[in-house]
Amino acid sequence: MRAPGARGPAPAPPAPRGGARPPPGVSLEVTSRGTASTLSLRLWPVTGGKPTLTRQGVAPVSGATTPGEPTQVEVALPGASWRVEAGSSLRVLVTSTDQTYAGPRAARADLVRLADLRLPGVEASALPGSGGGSLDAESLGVLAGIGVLALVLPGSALLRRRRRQQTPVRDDLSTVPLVVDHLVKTYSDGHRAVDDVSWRAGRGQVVGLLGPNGAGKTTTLRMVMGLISPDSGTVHVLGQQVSAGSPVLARVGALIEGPGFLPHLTGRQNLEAYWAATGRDDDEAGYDDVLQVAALGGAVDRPVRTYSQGMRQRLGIAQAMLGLPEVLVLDEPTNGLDPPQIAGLRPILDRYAAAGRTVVVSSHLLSEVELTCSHVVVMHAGRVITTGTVAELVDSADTTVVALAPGTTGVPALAAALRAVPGITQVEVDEDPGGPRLVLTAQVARADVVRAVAETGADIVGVSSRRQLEEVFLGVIAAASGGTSDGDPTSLTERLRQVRSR
Amino acid sequence: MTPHPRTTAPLSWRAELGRQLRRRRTLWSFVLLAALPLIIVGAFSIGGGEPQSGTLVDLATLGSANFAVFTTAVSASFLLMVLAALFVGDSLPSEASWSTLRYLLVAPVPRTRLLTSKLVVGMATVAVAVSSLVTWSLLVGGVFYGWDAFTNPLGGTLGWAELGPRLLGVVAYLVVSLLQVGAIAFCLGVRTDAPLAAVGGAVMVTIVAAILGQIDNLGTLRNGLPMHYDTAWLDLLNPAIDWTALRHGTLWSVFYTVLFVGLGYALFRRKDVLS
Repeated sequence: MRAPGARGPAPAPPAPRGGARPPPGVSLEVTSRGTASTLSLRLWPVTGGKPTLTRQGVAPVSGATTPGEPTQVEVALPGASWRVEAGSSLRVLVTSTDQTYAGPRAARADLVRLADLRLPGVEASALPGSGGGSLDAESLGVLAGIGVLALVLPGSALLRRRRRQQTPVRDDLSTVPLVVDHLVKTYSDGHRAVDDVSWRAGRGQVVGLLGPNGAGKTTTLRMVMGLISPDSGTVHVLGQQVSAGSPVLARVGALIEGPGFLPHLTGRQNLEAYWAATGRDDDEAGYDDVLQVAALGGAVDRPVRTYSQGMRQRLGIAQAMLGLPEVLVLDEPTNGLDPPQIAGLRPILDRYAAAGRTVVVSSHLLSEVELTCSHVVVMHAGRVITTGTVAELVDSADTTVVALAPGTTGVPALAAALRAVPGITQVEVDEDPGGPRLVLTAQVARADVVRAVAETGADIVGVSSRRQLEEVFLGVIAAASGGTSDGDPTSLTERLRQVRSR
Repeated sequence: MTPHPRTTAPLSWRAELGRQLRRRRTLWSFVLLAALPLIIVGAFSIGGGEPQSGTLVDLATLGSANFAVFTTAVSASFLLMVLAALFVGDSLPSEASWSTLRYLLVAPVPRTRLLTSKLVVGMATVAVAVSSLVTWSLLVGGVFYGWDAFTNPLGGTLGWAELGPRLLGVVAYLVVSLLQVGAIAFCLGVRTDAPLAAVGGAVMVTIVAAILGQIDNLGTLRNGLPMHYDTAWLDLLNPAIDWTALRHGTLWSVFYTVLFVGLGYALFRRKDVLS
C-alpha cells in the first residue's frame, strides 16, 4: 500500500541511538470485504479540548486488499511543523471518505484496527544561541569588526576636525576680497595644470583671468572655490583660508565650467533649491533681482531640461548672484550667449563691482575682457605671465601704433628702415585688411617716432597709443614661451592653437 | 564683516528630500511598488494550476497576511535590493552628472554634511519603500483574499496580535539588511560620476556574492558574504523564533554598512571634484 497524501520530504528523523527506529506515523490493520480500499486519515492537534485541522494533515491511503484477510497499512507523518503545547494531544481520525478526494464506487465494509502509533520525537539538544541568549563565535567576530570600525572612523574624523580648526586667519588680508597665493596643482596623471600662481582681486574691481584653453584658469578657480585641493599654496577670501566647504565660501558666488541644474525642476525652483541648500534665510536671496539678470521671462517656470544653452548660462549667472555675494566668480560667462546678451552682461558686472564688490571673470575672449574688466591676470601654461590694469597693458607709453593707408606696399622694407632709426627698439607689422599697421616700441617720445615714420614717406592715416589686448596677449605669451614677438606670427598663432601638451 | 545669519544647517534633510522627492526615479519606483501587489493579484487570477504544498506561493491567496508575506518575499530577493542601491547610491553621482554637485559644494555645503544628508534621506527612503510595500500588500491582500492572519506553509498559524509586531520586525530586518547594499552603492557613487555605475556596481556585488554563496566548498566562509542572510526574516514568521540567523544577518549588515559608509566619507573628503 502506498500513501499518496504523505508526499513531500518528511523530516529525516534524527539518527536513533541503539537500533533503527521507524519514522513517526501510524500502522493500521485493515480487513476489507472488497479487493481494494481507500481511507482518509486526518491529524487533529487538540489543544485545550479544541481540535484544529492543520494543513498537510489529511492523507488519503488506497491499496489492494484480500477480502477477509487483514492488511497492514503504514502511514508516515507528513513533513510539517506544528507547535504542540504541553497538555495537548494529537488525534488521528480514519474515515472511509473525504470531501477532497474521490473514493471507489464499489460497496465494501472495512474493519480498521490500530496496530501501532509512533509519535515524533527529537533526540537532539537545543541549538546554541537559538534563544537569543548566548553569543556564538560568528556574532562575536562581527561585533569585534564593527567595534574596530567604530573606533577607527570617528577617530580620524576628530583628527581632521581639529586640524581644520587650526587654519589660521590672516588679519592683514581681511579687507582683500580674494588672494591667491603660490598655488600649485598637479593632477594624478602628472599634468601640472597650475604652477605657482599668485594674484589678488580688490574691492570694486572686475578682474579678468585671461589665457588660452589649458592655461589653468578653471583649475585655479576650482581651487579658489575649494573644489580641488592645491598641492601647495593658499586661497584667502577676506582673510579666511579656503578649503573644501569653508563657511567663508558663502560670501562667494560662482559659475564654474558651465551651469548645473536639476533638470526636472523649473528655473525658479532650481534657484530656490540651491538657496535652500545654503541653509540661509529666504529674505537674503534676492530672487527678483537675479531673475531680472537671467531675463528668462515666462521660461523661468518651465523645466530646465527644456532650456537652450544660453538660457542655462544666464540662469547660472543669476544663481551665482543669489544673495549678492561679495566676490562673484564667473568662469567663461559669455559661453552660449549671443552678442546682445554679452553686451547686456557688461553693465550688470560693472554695476555689481561698482557697489564695492569684486567680480572675477575668466575668459579666452580677449576683446570681451578688454571691454568688461578693469584688471587682468594673464595665464599661460599654468603660470601667471602678467597682471595689471587693462589700461596699463594696452596703453603703454613706449608703444605707438601707426596706421598706414590701405594698399601701402613695401611695408616690410619700411619696417626694416625704421628699425635702423636710433631710439626705436622694435617694429611689428600688422597686415590688417583695413590697411597695414606698424606697432613701434621706442625709447624716445611719441612725436619723434611719428616724425620718423612720416620721414620714410609712408601715408599715415592714424596714430594711436592703444593696442588691441589680443596683440598684448600674444606678445606676452610669445615672450613667456621663449619665442620673440617679432618672429613669424603665424608660427606663434599655430603654436598657441595646439592643445597644450601634457 | 558680519557673518551671514544662518537659519538652518546647509543642505538640511528637508532640502535634500526636496531635491530627491521630485525626481522621476523616486516617483516611478514608488509607482512600481504600488503596482506590484496588483500585478501579483492579476497573475494569480489568470493562473489555475494545482496548489503544491510547502511553499509560500501556495498559500499566497489564503488571506491578507499570507499575500503580504509572499509579496515581500518575491520583492526582497531582487527588487528591493535594486531600489536600495538606487535610493542610497544614486543621489550623489546624479548631482555630479547634472553638474550640480560643484554648486552644492560651493554653496557651501561641507562635504561630510552633504554625504550625511544624502545618506539619511536615501536610507529613510528605503525604509519608507519597504514599509509601504508591506502595508500596501496587506491592504491589497485583504481586499482581494480576506483578512485572514498568517498560516505558515510549514505549519502553524499566527494571529494578528502576534503577527503585527513580527511584521514590524520583518520590515526592520529587511531595512537593516538592505542598508549594506545601499552602503556599497553609496561608496561606489562617491567614486564615480555615473549613477548607473554606482547602482549597477552594487547590484553586481550582491550577484557575485550570491554566486559565491552557491559554492559549498567555501563552507561557513560564505556567512560573511553581503546579503548572505537575506532570507533570515522568514524565521520571524515561525511559531518559535530562532534568532541566530537574524542576529548574524543584522550584525554583518551593520558591519558592511559602517565599513562602506566610512570608506565613502574618507574617499569623498579628499576627492578632487572635477565633474
